[in-house]
Amino acid sequence: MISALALSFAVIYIVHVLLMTSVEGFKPMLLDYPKKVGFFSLSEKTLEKSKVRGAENGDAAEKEQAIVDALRAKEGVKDVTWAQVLQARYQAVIGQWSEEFPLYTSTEEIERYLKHTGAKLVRGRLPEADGEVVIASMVMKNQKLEIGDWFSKDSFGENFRIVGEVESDSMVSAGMPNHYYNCGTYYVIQYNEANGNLGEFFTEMGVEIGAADVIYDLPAHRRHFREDCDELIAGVVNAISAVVMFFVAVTMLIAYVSFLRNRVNEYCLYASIGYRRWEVYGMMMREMFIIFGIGFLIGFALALPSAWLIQTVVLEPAGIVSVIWYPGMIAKLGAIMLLILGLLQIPVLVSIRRIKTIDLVED
Amino acid sequence: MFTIKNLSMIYDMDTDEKMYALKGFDLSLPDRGLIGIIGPSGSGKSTLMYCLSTLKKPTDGSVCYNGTELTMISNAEREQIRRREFGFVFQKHYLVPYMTALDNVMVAAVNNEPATREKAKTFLAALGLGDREIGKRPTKLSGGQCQRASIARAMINDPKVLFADEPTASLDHENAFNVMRILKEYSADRLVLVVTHDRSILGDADRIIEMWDGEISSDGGTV
Repeated sequence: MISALALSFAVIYIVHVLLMTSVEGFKPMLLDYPKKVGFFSLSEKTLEKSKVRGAENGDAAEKEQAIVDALRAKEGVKDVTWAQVLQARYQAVIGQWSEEFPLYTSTEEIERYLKHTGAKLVRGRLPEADGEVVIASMVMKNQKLEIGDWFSKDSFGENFRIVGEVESDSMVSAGMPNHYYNCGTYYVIQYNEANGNLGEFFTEMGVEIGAADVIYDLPAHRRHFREDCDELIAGVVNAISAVVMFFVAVTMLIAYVSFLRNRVNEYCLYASIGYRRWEVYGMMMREMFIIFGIGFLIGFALALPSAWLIQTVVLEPAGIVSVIWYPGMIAKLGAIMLLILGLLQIPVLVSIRRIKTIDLVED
Repeated sequence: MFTIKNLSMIYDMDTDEKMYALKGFDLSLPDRGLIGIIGPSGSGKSTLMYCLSTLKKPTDGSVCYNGTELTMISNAEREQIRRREFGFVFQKHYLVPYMTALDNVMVAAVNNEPATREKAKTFLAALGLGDREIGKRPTKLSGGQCQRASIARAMINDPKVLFADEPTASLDHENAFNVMRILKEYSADRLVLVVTHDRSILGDADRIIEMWDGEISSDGGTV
């Protein structure tokens, strides 16, 4: 029983750590990066139908310019540039995420962008010619890229050469466009967190956002993180935990019933020599708490080193961001164990009711 | 100590063919001494012991123990008397298999104080279980050693009455006589009731009550 509890604890915890690599790995891209950089592209249709403040009667181009000017005038907005973008892909244990990064036309712009995002060149050099890119260390590691490799050859062909590696908290990459290949063009905005809600800004400006418009701002990324990552992973972890714990609960129930059956004579002795039923119940409960406590501790002692080993031997070399300490999950597993303990009250109470004294056994 | 009046025990009360295990007799038992209750299988001797020890409630009659009518008290009071004033040696030793001999004795103790533990060791030593044996589990002990451990368990609370149901049934002659010798010594200042069908072990009994078909066929004799 102790080993069943301990193993279940360890298995669920390790599965949780593995699944959470998606959450931990996507966090920098989805929660940190959009605090500093946003992208948008408004369709001509949207611009034509919108009464943009300051260019109510202008054509689409005039309205777009009015929006860009208003953005540039905002405090905390450093730069708004019409630029091509590329996507840097990050693969977790389950799922992947691709995040846009800008392709500026000059090295100086890239320098300013890296400075704004807090990224530092740690190897190689900055892009100086068309099609050169610097890629975030974690993406390089994750995608097994080296300086001199073509960047995401599968997706972009032999068009973007990696010339440097940059390190930052938010997996920032940058580069210069290749004029033979265009992955899309957006306004790239370098802002502070307070300006991260572009949707709100557009509404203030009188823009009626439509389905054809693209806005990659902080709320959009947060929504993606919450819906496609955090809640999804939490759901999967909960489902796996529920299935495993269901089987553990059933196994424990069967094991405990058999355990109690093997001890009929013992309980019979206690009743015969004058133990009260509640005293026998107390003994059973004390024993159960010890079993569950030891199971919990062994599970904990198994789970953490195993998770650390997996992190060191498998995840880190694969460039997968992981965290092994989840106190919330430990508390949750503790609560599940208490639930199973509660379930085992059924056979305990039944056997307490059925305890016979030795005279009845020998009759 | 015990005053029994018109004690009856009927099994299968709800059926037409009632089975009388005890057929309404009177009996009086003293405060001390070794008393043997003897009779063939089905004579009612074990039922009498169970009624005296509160494990069974008689169908009719009264069992008065030191002024307390045992048939009238609650289950809790019965359990309390069994725990504090009675000791039991059953036909099988009923030792808890995963506990050591010492822990098995302590199972019956009303407290877990070091002094009680020492007392348990003393009893076990007096019964021939040394330091090596008291740390062993029942599976590692012989039948005689297990039965002696169960006697120590019965003695741990210094009971006023010790009930022993066929205490030598699973023992060889030598062990059987050893157990009886211990019980005889123990009966010097308390009542020891030994239920058996083996007359030969009751050589030292102060009194022998013979039962036959739910009734006392003779009382007071010795071997």
